Amino acid sequence: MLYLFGNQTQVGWLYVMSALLAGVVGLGFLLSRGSLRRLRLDRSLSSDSIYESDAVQVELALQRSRGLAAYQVELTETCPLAAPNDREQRLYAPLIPVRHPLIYAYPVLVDRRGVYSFPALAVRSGFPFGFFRRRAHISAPTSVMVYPEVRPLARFPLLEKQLAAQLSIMRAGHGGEILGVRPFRSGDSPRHVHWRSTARTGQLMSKEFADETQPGLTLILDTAFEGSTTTKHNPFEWAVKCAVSVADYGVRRGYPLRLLHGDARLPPFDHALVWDVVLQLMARIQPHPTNTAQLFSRAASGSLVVAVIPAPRPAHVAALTDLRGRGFPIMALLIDPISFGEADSKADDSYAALTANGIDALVIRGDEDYAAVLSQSTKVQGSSRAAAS
Amino acid sequence: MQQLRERYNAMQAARRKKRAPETSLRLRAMVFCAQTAAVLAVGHVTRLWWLSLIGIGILAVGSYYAAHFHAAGRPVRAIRIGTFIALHLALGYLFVGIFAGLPYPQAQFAVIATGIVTFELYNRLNLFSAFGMGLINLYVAATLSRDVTFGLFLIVFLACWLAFMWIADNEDGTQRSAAVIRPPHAEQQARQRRTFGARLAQFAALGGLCVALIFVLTPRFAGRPLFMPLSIQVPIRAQPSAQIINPAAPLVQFEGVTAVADSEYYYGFANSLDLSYRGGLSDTLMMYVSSPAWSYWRGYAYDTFDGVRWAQSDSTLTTLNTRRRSGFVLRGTGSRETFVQSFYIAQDMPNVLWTGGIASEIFFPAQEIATDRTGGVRVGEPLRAGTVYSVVSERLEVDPAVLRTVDFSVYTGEFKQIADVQTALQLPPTTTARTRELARSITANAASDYDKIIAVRDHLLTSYPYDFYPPPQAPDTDAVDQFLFVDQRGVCEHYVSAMIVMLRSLEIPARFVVGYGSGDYNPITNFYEVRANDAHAWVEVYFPGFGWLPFDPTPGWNGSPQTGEIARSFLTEWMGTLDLSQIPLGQVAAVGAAAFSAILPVLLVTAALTAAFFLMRFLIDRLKRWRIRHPKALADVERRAIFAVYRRALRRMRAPRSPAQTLREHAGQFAADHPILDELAQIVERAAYDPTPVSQRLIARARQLFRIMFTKP
Repeated sequence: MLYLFGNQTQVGWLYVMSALLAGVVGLGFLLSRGSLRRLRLDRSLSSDSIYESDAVQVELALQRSRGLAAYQVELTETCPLAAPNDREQRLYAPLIPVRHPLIYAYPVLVDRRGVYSFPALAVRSGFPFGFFRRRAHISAPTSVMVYPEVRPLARFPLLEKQLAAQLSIMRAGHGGEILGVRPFRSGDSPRHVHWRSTARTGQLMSKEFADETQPGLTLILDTAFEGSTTTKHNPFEWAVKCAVSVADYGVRRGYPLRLLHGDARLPPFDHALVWDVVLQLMARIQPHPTNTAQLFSRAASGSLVVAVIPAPRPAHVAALTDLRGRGFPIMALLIDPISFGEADSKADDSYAALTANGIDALVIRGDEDYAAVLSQSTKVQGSSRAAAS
Repeated sequence: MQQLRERYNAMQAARRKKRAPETSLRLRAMVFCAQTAAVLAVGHVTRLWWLSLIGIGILAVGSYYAAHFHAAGRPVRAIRIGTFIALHLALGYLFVGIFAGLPYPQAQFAVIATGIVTFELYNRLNLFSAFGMGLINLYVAATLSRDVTFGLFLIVFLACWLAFMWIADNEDGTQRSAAVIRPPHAEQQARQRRTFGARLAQFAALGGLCVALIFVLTPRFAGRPLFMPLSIQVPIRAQPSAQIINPAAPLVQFEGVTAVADSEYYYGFANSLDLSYRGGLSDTLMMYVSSPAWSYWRGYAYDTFDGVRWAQSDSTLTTLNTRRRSGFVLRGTGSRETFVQSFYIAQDMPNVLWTGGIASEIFFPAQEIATDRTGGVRVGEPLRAGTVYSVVSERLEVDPAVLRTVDFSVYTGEFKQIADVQTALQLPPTTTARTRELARSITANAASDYDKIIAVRDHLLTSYPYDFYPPPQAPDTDAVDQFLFVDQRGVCEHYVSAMIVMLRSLEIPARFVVGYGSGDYNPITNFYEVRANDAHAWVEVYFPGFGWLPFDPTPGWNGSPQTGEIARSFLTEWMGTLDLSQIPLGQVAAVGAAAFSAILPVLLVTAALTAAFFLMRFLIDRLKRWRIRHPKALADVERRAIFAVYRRALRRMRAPRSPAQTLREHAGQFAADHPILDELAQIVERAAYDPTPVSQRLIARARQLFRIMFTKP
């Protein structure tokens, strides 16, 4: 308008004014183009081993690698570890210095197990005067594995009853599973040197393998779950928690642990696993259609079988009854989907069928403290039923 | 998609924010400072300092009220009503002021209205509008400003505006965010200040460069005249006078006596011009001329000379009654280009209207104006400081090659009987034989009459040095003879008189014109600044078929003072075709219609731009919504980007791929000329068949390959 009026009135100042306005806006455009370049982000977490429900701290270090400082930068950090509603947080940096990191740390209550990658940090700036908004994404690849919640069971009477007679302490042998590392002894195979531990300790360390002839605990986690897993509180997650707590108990007691699962995306293991591997598997495992009979039939002979079933069905009863028939000591942990708001549940029927067949079973409800239920499992059949009824 | 949704939500949030009560005192302070600068600018250019003080007072009270009551969401109803009434009273004051002849009523209205509106600064949008009001004040000041001091106010206003934008962006960012991250240590904060200084310096340097570049490259088009721009004056009611009334003339003037040096009085602006007069002219600014074309500003002409004194042979005036668009029509326009000049009188001047080119229409606040026999335009009173008028002129420019073909022999026949020509051939009885002889000898070798004119002019230009104070005129001598053969130095009147006498001795009609040179052009203000010492005289020669054409024999001036190039554009032509004044609505309505027709194109263009802006915003809004609702339509944007690069490469190579060929086969075919094509084909294959998302890096690589392929080494 000023320019047009300048033409009409031939007032030179109007040209100056229009040039000033156009110049400032044009310069704003030019400067805004480089406002988000050369930004570097480093992201770190306060802990290496993160479990569900842990409180961890995420630290962001943001700086500009060269040039002049960046101004008026809005940042949107999405933390996948947090609960869905708390994942995104907006930050504002009036200035991001050059070659001097701007540090920001925020606490996160880890919501759910799994493997997460932090998305790139979304940055936005209206520098210099908000005429133009520039957006960019600064990536700082950060992957985190969140292990499932482990509730240490003080006791697991049901399991002890089954195992006491037949299980002994896990011992070292010549199996395929690494039990741990120990200082290198004369006569050890050089091929079994664990180089990472050697580097860390400064002493030659050797891998120690489990004796796979030793009878142990076979944990079967059924992944055939078709219900919703969008919320954290669902039968499958409950099954994972129960499974990992039972596994922890078993491992702490020194029992060789085998884990059978139906998630085809994860490697199947038919031998005893060390605790780290169990945790990693439990962090990754997701519902997946599986053949129940086939899965249950992979149980190692001579071991106690603990089956954790998030959605009990007659097929499970049949498979467990078959195992029982083959002489396996069996225990079934049945998650009751109805207590999680699922419409269909055969937990009660399955429980009745299993107990009728002489199989120890335990029904775990969503509104119960599963660790407490497991710890009191000597009378749990009766008490759980009573609670359910 | 999530990103799109976020952007859309952010946009909506920003709009809501603009409508929420503005609570930031810092922002309101910036608005107050900017408006104060604008109001002071108006006071400065109009010299109405009392107006500025009143305006700032109202601004202060209004800003305080708005900050404490509006921001708290409790506006006082009585104040709102009072504001509404006050605004209308101010408008009434504007109309009364126009007709009562108050000084700068439009400026007074702008300042007072700005102050009143401050009471209604409720939200962020209102604060932006306040800057708009400030800009209107600056606009008013700009149209009245003639010097560069206005720039200071402009810079202060701009600084406040930019500070406002900066603070607003910072505060918005802080409010939108859960946390503000700042450098923790004092050292880093000190560094922050230094960095900010560096940024500011960078901005100032680049900004200055950018603004200067835009300013220099901005085409300046000649638009239609805005009659008496933003200053509707009380018209002169007196009858035009044949008497030249020069307010600068000394009360007592002794013939032949040197007057006070450095006065504003040019003795040529009178009923006669005495060559025996001596005196210098001051540097006082007499007027500002806004014109898209360079020109001398002509006053009138003398046609008779008695050897010492120039006078007009006929003082009859022709009153102009013909009006069009409230302007006085001097002559019909021909096929020549027209341009408009506006004259802003800074000092009291004679009752002569200065014109550039060949004046055809004059917009002057008078009931009557008149022309004399030499084309000079007279009014009834001297031009007072503050008078503004516009002139529409035809461009005066004739090709010398054409002028060389003009046959001056017609003067020997009946053409010579034309009164003006006859007078312009008159020689004083005191003309000496050596003057005639000099004219003949100078022009002996001239092939045409035009060449004779040029020869005489060039002789004077090159042979006689300019002298502000030549010796006194000897009694009973011919002034031209004394200049040419005795003193051999003089001022412009001597050169002009000598040229005219010599031309007339060669039977070429010529006359003596007084006026002003163009003055110094100020590119910032776009004005020619005409000073007292720009008063000048030059020669007009009558060319049959062309009329009177100017020549200037004075050294240091333009030898052929014809009109310069006119700044033109397609807008000029388009705006020139709109003429609402033809609607018979009576004189008053015609003035309004004429003024409106001048502004109409601007309004239309502004309305079109505004409509385009809102349409674009609407469409972008719709597009964003559509993209959110139809995410599939946007799927695989990255893949498509890579395919587009590949297709572009094939087009450039003029090597289409046959349907039977695989990408690699096709690339292998052109491996000799374009070895890089194979890598590009691999990228395309990966984009087509790899189910994992395509990375930005891959797209960048495809584009890089394209550039490498087609960049000449």
